[in-house]
Amino acid sequence: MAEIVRIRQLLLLFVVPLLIVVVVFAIGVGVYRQKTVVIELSLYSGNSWGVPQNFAYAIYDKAVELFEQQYADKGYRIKLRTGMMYKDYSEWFAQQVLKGKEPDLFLIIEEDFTTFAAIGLLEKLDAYIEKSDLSEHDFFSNALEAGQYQGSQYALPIGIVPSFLIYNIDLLDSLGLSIDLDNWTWEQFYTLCSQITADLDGDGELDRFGVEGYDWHQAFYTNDRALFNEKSSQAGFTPQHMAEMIEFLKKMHALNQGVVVRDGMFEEGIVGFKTFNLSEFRVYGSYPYRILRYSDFDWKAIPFPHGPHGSSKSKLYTVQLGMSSRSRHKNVAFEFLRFISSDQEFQYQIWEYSNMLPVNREAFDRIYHSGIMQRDGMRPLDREFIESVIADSYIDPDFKKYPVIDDYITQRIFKIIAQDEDIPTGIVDLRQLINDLLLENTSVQSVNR
Amino acid sequence: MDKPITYVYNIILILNLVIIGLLSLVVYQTTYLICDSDQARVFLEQARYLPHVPWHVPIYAIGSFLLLAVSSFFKRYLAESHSLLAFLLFVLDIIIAFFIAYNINFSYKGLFLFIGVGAFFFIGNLKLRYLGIILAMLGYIFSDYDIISVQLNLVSLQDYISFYSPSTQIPLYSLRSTLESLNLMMVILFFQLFIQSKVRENKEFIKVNNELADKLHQLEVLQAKLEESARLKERNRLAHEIHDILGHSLTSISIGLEACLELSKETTQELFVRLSKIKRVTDKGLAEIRRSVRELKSDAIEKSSLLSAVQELINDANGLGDRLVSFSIHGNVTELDEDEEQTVYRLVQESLTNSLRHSGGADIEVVFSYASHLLNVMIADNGQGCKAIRKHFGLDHIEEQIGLLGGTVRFETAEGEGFRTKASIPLRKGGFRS
Repeated sequence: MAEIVRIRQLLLLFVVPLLIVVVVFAIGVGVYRQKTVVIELSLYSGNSWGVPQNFAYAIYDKAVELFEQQYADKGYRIKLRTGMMYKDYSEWFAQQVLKGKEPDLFLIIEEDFTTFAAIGLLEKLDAYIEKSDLSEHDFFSNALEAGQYQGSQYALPIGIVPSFLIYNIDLLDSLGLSIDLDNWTWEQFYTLCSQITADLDGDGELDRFGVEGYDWHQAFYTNDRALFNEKSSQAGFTPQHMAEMIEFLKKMHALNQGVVVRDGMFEEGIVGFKTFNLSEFRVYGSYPYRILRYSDFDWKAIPFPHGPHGSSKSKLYTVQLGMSSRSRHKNVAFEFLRFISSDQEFQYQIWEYSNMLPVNREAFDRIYHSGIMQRDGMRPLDREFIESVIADSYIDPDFKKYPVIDDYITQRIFKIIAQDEDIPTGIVDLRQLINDLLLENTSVQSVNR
Repeated sequence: MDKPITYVYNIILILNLVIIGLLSLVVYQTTYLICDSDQARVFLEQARYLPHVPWHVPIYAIGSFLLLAVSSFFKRYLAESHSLLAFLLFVLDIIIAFFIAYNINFSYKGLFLFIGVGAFFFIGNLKLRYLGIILAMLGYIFSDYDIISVQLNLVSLQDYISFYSPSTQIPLYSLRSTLESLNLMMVILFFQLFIQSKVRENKEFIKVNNELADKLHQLEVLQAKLEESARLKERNRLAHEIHDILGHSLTSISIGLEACLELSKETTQELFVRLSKIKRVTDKGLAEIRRSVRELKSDAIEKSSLLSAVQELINDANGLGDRLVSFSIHGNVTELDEDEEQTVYRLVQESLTNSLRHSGGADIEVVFSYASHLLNVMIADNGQGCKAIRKHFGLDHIEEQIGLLGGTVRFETAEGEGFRTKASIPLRKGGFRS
């Protein structure tokens, strides 16, 4: 009995005051947090489309400014974590995750997206979206799809960069060539390239070429739908389409007689076509860069030519923002996500502060109507054209191993073409290679892009 | 609980603390090593799941374990008095154990053995204890990474350890399995000691129980003796009273009558005859009273031995008529306790009286056979016997008396076959030697 009495005294002496202290502390912390919600957002400088951007964070500073203004009464604060280069961001961010210090919101590198969604780092946004006034029709649907994993939304896009083909009008005109966009096939494209390709000075070496920067990616997606199956667990391409593609690339490769078309040859006016994206268009298509780089000839944007089984698809770059599933202020964080991806005012500012296009359709409309595109003397970009390019675009596979597998595929296809391998055998081989790589559990060393 | 069991329990507790501390620190330390060597992204890919925040792991795991230790401290005091409360604390323990297991990625199941041992240690109520053991066993079964990871997305400890080079991995794995085996051995040792202590407890219990049964029997015997002695006392008192008052009066009457007889001899013949008749009746009554008193008084036995008292009874019977009453003794004569002597004496007395009354003048045989701790007594007549035994008070009383001594009595008779009383009485003292 004495023992029990002693325990009771112990309880009264220690546990009860301790409980009171804990409760008071908890309430205090709760009240403090209620008052000042600080959302952290981590950013990288640079981008996936490889076009330098001055004042990389300016657009985010603007977002923070507008958001804090809009929610001034609630006292939300956004803190930016900056300083990481695009190429180092993935590892740096993974370390933050391992240490449990990742910010509430973060930009996601393409190759990280699937992993982060799969391991549960990214908060599923479906429920938040349902509660909010967000409508999927406000977005360019391809951009929204890039943030989906297994049917759920895990990230929201901020801006997009579509890509397309440009051609040297002067060069084609001078050769008396014209493009029939109604029948814009590989066949026509090849014919044009073969007509442009020439040895002008008769030294036995080619000095005018068909296309710069065109590789199997552009060819593949204009003749097939996806490289992998839906779960990215196996190869998912159609062998026949792949064979057509390799056949086509082989012809294209043969045109150049082994000469590699270097970066920048299009600027010299000796190449007919070049792969391009909107960001480059922004930079080089407007003053002062226009003068510096493409001054000697007139040029124009067109879609990619398509194969017998596809359409004019092109790659769409997106910038995706996700929320940590461990964030303490998910609702506020989502408010910011919603704001940055759909607020009219801010989305309109994307054109001002970056080389991207807004992901919001209405902001896109406003930009076209306001005439700010022409303000800096930018080369006109047909609205219908750009909309159709966005609508008919593809997103790169976004799982961790993809960059490595992509390298392997490039090498394998090059081998088939260069060594004149039997194409069906080569494709069976390629499929096996892809399946093996996907199955491999051992980590494939990441390649910095 | 025994001291060694408490020691072993404490060792298991400390061992588990060490294991959990080790595992959680491995998780913590490895996370930072991974970051330092720029392998974080690769690790996330391999881990497949979002790892714990590193500092949470040791803080939560060790902190929760200390809670378990505190809980076991309380349960020690609650075990006996508040079984249900102890059980509720035990259920809380299991929840805490799952929390710990979750924090160390279900890489260690032995914790549930520790919890299970606690069920034996702390839950007094048997039903609750079994329930507790079942819960702990379920915990042991399901706290397995391979089972849990189907439902819960967890990084395995292996993912962490595989970060190290084999030269570090091997000692880590061996340290872990050594500690786990040690834990298992300690648990087995605990059960060994626990079973031993239970067996010892049981033995003591049986011993005490036997002693109690003995004491109870002794008490019964004592009670019988007490009753007998009270009855004897009462008989003595009655005998004294009859002797003192009735005997005295009758004696006085007899003496008076004698005087009257002397006087009347000379005067009236008629009166003399009448007085003589009264005197005869009085003397006969006096003789009756004396006999009665002698019978009532146990002195007859107390003063002499049982055998001589019985002999006297037989002599008396022989003196009554022409019938023959024989008395024979077999075996080595043993000294009997007083109550035993009383019972045997009453048995012979009652049986003789019955035979004398009902046998119709037949011979009577009384046989005493002594064996080790046993006396067999037979009183048999070769008289007319009877169809069925009608147990009157006398026979009942004899049966009861002999029953109290733990003996048996049997009556055998049939029409024309005589009457036999056979009794067997266990003796407390003696044997052949005495």
